[in-house]
Amino acid sequence: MKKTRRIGSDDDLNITSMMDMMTIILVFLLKSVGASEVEVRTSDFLKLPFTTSDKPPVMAATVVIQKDQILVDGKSIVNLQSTPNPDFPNKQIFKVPDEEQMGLKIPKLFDVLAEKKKAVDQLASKVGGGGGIEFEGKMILQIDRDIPYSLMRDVMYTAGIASFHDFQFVLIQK
Amino acid sequence: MAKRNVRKDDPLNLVPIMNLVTILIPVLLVAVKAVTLAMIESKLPAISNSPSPAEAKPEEPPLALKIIITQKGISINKESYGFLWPEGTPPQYTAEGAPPVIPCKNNRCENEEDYKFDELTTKLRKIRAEAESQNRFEDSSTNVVLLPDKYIPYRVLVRTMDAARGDNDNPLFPVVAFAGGLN
Repeated sequence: MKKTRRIGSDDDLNITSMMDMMTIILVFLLKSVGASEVEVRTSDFLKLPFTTSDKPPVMAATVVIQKDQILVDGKSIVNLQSTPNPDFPNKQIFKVPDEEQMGLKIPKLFDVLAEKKKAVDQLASKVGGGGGIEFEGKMILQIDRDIPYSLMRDVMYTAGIASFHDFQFVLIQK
Repeated sequence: MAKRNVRKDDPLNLVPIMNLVTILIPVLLVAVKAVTLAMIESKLPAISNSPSPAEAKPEEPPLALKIIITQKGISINKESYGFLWPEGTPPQYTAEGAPPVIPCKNNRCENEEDYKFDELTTKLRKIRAEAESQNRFEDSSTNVVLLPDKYIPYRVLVRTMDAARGDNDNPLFPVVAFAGGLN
């Protein structure tokens, strides 16, 4: 005989199974929440390449080379121009306009980076030796995957003469 | 004073917890990492006061690998040829205008996929093994200098660095530096 379960109007909804599920999801999500120090800029002009490296990036001054501009800590410094690649005319290369460049040096970028170093040095001299503030010359580079080496070299050269000599290329882990 | 009468068989009131969890789950879902970031380190070479290599050149210098990346393929510096071909360098590589050690199809590398990175890893493994067997692999030999042509895109450089790094169990050349480039 078919048994019918009677549900009275004052019966509570049984939410134990839902609570079980929620608890598992909560633990899973808490575990997968990112704790990375470095923030990646999101833009249509910036697509990071993939890597097999598994080292996490650490915080430092950030230079972003997009297809349309160079940014330092989120602030636009130089606009870039694109021209056809002489080797493969169907592809584009990106470069700093000639009037914005002196040899390999990009003066506007140099000024901003030198200012950053000066600010850290001033802070270090005020705090004193025991304050733990010291200019380490570290720089995070977020570079679009299509940027040619010539532009990357000019940025690294400019950073080098502004005393930034330790580069971290931020990439997406495969 | 009013006393709240709680019956022993009353179910536990889970509504506040449910409220909290329902808010937490969307917040966490938004904050979940969609991508994992990684990094590759590179340092500019330091200036030292030690004698220049010309003054103190040993007869059998340790391995100092350079990888040259062009639109035709990937090569290594001539000084490292002896580690790749210990029995003797093939004649076409000693001639002027030698082809790349790992050429692309039709000598034209238009896309990232045209470069043969697996072959590069295999050749680098051979070079490291040969240098170790000749006792010419020192601490500085884990450095590799990249010499890319000026229009080589960044993604190709990253793939080359990945190929040269090896893996955690069998590291190859994990310390990367960039040279000024070919032109």
